[in-house]
Amino acid sequence: MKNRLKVLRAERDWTQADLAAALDVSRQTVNAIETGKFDPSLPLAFKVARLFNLPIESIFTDEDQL
Amino acid sequence: MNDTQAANSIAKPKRQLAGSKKNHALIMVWILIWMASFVAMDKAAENNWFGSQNMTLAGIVINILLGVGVVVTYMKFLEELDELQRKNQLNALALGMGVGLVGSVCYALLLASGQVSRPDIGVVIMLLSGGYMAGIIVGRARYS
Repeated sequence: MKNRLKVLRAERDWTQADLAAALDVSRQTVNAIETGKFDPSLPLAFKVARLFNLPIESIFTDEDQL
Repeated sequence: MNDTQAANSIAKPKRQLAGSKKNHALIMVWILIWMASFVAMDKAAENNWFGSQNMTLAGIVINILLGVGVVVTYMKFLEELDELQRKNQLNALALGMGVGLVGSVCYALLLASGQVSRPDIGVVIMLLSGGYMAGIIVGRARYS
């Protein structure tokens, strides 16, 4: 699964630690999601969508559909 | 709302201290106390420090209670981790258990065949903790 987390974070001038604090996860988790090494659970993905006020499908994309 | 508007509407989050760090320190303290009580009990039983059987049993009960404390603290620690950290812990536990189980069976066969003369529970503990530690290191390296 691909995501635009890094881009969205950069637009807001947030560090990984800032985003981790907002999502209540570790910085390592944010890094792993951004680099595509770890796919977040559905609740965490929804939390990300709520944080950025964006629909979930505009942040996360299924690679098989590309 | 487009991305730029959304970006402007969200305040920068305040940084918080991760609760898992505090819990990690707490579990280490519990493990150290439990291990110290285990070593003390082992030495006491070996040298007959307690004198009476009741005192020995009381010492064992204290060790068990400290062990329960370790388990409860670890469960609380697991609950407060995020999903990736929990995944790492579960993978490490699976590896520790697998290595411990396979190693224990192998050790039992060595004992039965006379290759090892004296049973030692320390070997099983070492295998379990070694497997667990290896799992933690591999997990951290994989997702860093």
